[in-house]
Amino acid sequence: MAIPFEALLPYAIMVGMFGVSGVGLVVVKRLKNEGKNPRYNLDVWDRSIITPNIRTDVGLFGIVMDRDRRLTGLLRGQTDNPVAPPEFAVNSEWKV
Amino acid sequence: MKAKEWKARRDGKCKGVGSHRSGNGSFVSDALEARDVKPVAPSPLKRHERKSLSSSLIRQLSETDEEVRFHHAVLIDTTPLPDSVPKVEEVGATSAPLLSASYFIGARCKDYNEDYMLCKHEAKGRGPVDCLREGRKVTRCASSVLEDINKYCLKEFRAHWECLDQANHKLFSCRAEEKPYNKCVFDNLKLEKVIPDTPKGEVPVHLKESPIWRHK
Repeated sequence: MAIPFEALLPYAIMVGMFGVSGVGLVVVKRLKNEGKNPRYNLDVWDRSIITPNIRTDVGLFGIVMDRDRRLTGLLRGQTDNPVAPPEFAVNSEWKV
Repeated sequence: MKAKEWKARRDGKCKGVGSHRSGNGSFVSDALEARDVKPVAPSPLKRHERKSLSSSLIRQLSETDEEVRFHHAVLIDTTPLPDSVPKVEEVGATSAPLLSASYFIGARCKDYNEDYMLCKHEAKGRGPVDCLREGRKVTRCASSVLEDINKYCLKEFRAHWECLDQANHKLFSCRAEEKPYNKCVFDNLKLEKVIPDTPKGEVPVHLKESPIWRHK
């Protein structure tokens, strides 16, 4: 028996839109986090190790030391070198 | 900050952590003293002149002929430590590899770490200045562990910390990668991961075969 597919097209579009939003969200998430999953529930230690000094507000992230970013240049960058490059010793940021 | 409060602070009535009143009456922090910078007595500041503190800081640092980078929110001082402090290279690992190697660093460097913590506890606030020697030992030991892990177990190490990076740095999510990694490190470096304060008679959580909570 013939299925009235024209009548079901709007439902297909709606379901397709769900898929588009899902894919779009994942793409935006990955772009923001350099291809990795986002970090959540960061405590003071994690903030001091990762995050940058975004102006002088506290905001979502903390301020002060931003070790990962100073070592790699990226917010979520990671390296496993035993020793740091010599610039790392003097590029810490003092909040003014 | 009102001018009266600032004057009280300058005269040393307010005791901040890590700062003290130096001989010529200026309000100087320990970190600056350690860097061999001449202190400058701040003039009493009005509210709108608070920014001049940072500019005087910049001025005195630029007197040492080192490059100072200007920025509206942070000050980056590239003056290196004085030559009286022996040089040690900092640990170059970022958060995920460091977390991954942390138990092995603890296994090898337990004595140095405890020395350093005891020194800081006894220094009562002057830790960053008085405990530099113990700190250098800690840095060198941690670097040595990372070097050895890189030499013998690089593939398993990378697999583990890349998994951690994807999983919000939660160790329970990466047990499958952790098993071969722990085995490799134990075989080559003789370092074993031990979770301190595991209750007696209980299997440590990283060795449980089928944990009820928080498994992948």
